[in-house]
Order: sequence, then C-alpha cells, then structure tokens
Amino acid sequence: MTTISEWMAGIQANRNVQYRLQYSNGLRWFPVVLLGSLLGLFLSVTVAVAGENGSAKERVMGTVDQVMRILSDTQLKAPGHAQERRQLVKQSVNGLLDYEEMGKRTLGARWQKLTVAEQEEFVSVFRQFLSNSYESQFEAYSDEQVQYLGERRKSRFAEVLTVLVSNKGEIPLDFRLIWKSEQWWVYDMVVDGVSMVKNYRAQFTRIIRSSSFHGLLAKLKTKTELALTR
Amino acid sequence: MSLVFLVMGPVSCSAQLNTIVHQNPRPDSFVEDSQSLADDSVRFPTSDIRFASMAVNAIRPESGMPMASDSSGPRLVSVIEPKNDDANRESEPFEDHFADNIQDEVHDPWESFNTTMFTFNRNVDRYALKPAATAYEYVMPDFMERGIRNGFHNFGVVSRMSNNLLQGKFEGAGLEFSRFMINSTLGIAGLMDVAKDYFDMETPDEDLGQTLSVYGTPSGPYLILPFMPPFTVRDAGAYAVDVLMNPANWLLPIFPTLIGMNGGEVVNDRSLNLERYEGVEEGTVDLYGAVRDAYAQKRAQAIKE
Repeated sequence: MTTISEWMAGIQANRNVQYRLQYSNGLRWFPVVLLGSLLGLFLSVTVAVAGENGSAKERVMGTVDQVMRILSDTQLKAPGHAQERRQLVKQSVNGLLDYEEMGKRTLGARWQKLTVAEQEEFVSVFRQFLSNSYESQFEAYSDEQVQYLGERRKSRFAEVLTVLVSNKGEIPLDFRLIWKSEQWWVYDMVVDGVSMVKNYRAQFTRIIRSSSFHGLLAKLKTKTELALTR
Repeated sequence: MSLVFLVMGPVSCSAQLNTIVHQNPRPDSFVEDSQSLADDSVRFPTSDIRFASMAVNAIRPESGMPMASDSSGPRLVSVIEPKNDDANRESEPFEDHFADNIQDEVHDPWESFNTTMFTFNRNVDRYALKPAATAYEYVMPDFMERGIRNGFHNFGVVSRMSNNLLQGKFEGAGLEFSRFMINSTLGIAGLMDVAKDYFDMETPDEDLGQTLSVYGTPSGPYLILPFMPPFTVRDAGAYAVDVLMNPANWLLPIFPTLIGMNGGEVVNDRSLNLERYEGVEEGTVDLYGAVRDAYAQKRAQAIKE
C-alpha cells in the first residue's frame, strides 16, 4: 500500500508525462496564447467595468469630501469670506448634480408636454432655486461626517448609500446617479427615506394644479430672489 | 452634505413629526388621488400593497456588488425590473431603477381643513416650540438629549413588540425584547442604546398603523390635528392605541404629569432636530405639499421594512 505522498507523487509524474506527450509537437504555445488573450480581454473588461463601477462612489465621496473641507476650512469661516465660501460650495455641488435630469423627474409626464424653450427655462430656474436655497443649511454645518456604506448598480444607474453621522444622531443618505456624457451624475438624493425628486414632484404638482406651469416658474423665481437677498 | 436637509422632516410640529421619524411609522397604502400626476409609476390597489411589497422584496439586486451591510436593513430598496426590459424602457427619462414604483401620493379630501391646521401647527412651532427647544438645546449637552430620547424610545417596547408579533415578524419581536432587556439593565433604564452600539441589535420600529396596513386596512384621508404630527385616519386611531400601550403612561396616570412628560419628550425631540429642520422652509416652494409627501414616503418605507 502506497503512502499518500507516494500516491500523489505518482499522479504528478503521470501528469508530467501526459503534458510532455501532448505538447511536444509544438502545440505547447497554444494554451499560453489563449490564456494570454483571455487575460487581456478580462483585464480590459474589468478595467472598463471597474472604471464605471468604482467611479460612482468616487464621484459622490469626492465631492462630499470637497464640500466638507470647504465648510470646515477655518480661513473661510471668517466673516468676510462668506460669499467666497458659498461660491466654492456651489461650484462643487454643481459639478456633481445634473439639474436637468432632476428637473425632468420633478415634472414627470408634464415634461414631455413642454416646448423646448419652456424646458430650458424650467431647468435654469430650477437650478437657480436649488443652488440658492440650501445655503442656510450649509451655514448650520458642524462636524457632520458622511460614511460610505455601499453602492448598487443597474445598467446606467447607480445608487451610493451613505449615512450622515452627527452628534445628534444618524441620517441615512442615498445618492442616485445616472451615467451621462462619460460621467456619473447625481439626479436624486434620498434623505432618511424621503426622495428629493419625489418630494419636489409632489410640491410642483400641487402648485401647477392651483396656478399652472407659469405660476410654478414665478414661485420658484420669487423664492430664489428671497434667498439671494438674505 | 447639507443639501440633504432640503427634504428633511417637515417643519409642521416638528417635534411630533420627529416622533414619527423615530417610530418609523408603518408605511401606508394610500388611496390614489384621482387628479394625481399620470407618470410611469406602477400603481397598486390599496389592499394589495403588502403583496406588492412582498413581491418587490423577492427581487433582489444582483450580488457581487459592494452593498449595504445588513440583509434586513431598511436601506436595500429592492429593484423592480421594468416590464419590457428593452432599450426603449431604459432610455425612458423617468425610469428610476432604484425607486419603488409604488405611487405614494396621499388621499387628501380634507385639504382646506388640513391646511388651516397645518398653518396653526407651524405657528405653534415657530413661536412656542422652537424657542423652547433652542433654549433647551443651549442648556443640555448632546449626550443627555440623546439619552432622554433613548429612554422614551425604550418605553415603547410593548407596542413595538406586539406589532412585530402581529405581523409575524418573530425575529423583530425577539430583537425588541432583547434590546429592551439589554438597554434597561446595561443601558441604565434605557438611557444608553447599548444594544445598538455594542451588540449591533437594531430593528425597524413597528406600530399599529403599519400592522393594520399589512392586514389590508385602507389608510383613509390625510389628517392634521392641532399639536399633532400629520396622520391618516387609520394611523391616528392606531397612534391613540399605541399611546395607551406605552407603560410610561400607566405608571404615571396623573394627567398633569403625563402632559409634562410628553411635553418634555416633544421639546427634546425638537431640539435634536433643530439643524435638520433649519432652512426646510427656504428649500421648498410648497411646504404643505412637501410635508404631506414626506410623510407618505416615510410611511411607505416603514411598511416595507
């Protein structure tokens, strides 16, 4: 009775013999070439997929970190720099949010019934409104941290799950992104289970019902002016 | 990112609303508003909402992707596969692959009454509650505020556990019980949420309104009462029962003490949310609609959990 090691050595020897028999005739490079090309293909696919995959998280966390840095910058906290601070934050945020995709979804089916001019006007008014309305919340920032939890992908949509941690508690915060023009763009944020787009859609529906689409535009403009004069 | 705060918790009687936020009230099956926007959302008849939820939960996102850690976590919103899974559907601009397509606009036949009450509550908040909460927040350290909130939350175990059982969520019921035991002993009468911080024991809050919705009770109209957070009729009745089930209310059946205790809870909650609700009004064009919709979304989410 052979011992296990002898048995295994025997198998190995067998394998070597078979290998040599199989490849002694010059076919020996075939598996190497095949493997090489498969590996190359795999790598390129991985890189491409990983490029799309990983960058959703990087996009979101990168901008978030940037904004946090701006908000906690002690130099900018000095009173004279308020305007500059706001500008920087605005720039960062505008680099991540796709206001058109967001605006489209807040109007729902009505979007397609608008003329192109009206659509453009709405997106621009909406952009002004959003950009200017959240400043007071930024001023209230004090050492919150955003922790990345995970992400999901489905074709050209992605969702990045995070949680906003502060001394007072934790708030789940999810970003929804769409792959457009070779980059991930945020089109919705879900704060504590409440989707921003859905919430605005409900508001806009109610306003349009009582005062038409142009009434909505007027209201958005008024609010923006209020925010700017604050 | 503070852009977040745009749709944080509506302002109306914020503290009580925060109670909703923390109780994670049962998400509802809302009756469709007949004039609601006709978009591509899939609609489910009211009584079938729980079957829809179950069907939705059966579809899991593809594995192999980095995901949120826990499997029972509320944040895994299941993906609903589009019906015709072809290129046309994908290019549809309103296709939101991560949103549950359940329409959750609230049925609001009493809108005029509700808006009056809403304005009243908002004024109460602006002139009475928020100043009180601001002063309170100035005086109290954060950990004490959190402790008081945890303490009140701990009391609600009877209602939460029974509702878990009524919905057949035995794991949830067990977790509630364990959390109560651990927090009441190690966590000094519930002041510290030891179960969550050290043992990772968490379970979504259940209340009677959610249980009723799972059993198919229609949600009824949206209702705002003075000094109360937004409700639907079904949830208002359920809330009353849940209050009666709260042991704190048995131990101190003297009316003034009850008012004082619940008032204290309200002020505490409001002070915990001062920054959250700051600027909500500036970020919305229609506050009433925003509150109503946020309530609907939170209920829908809580039912799914």
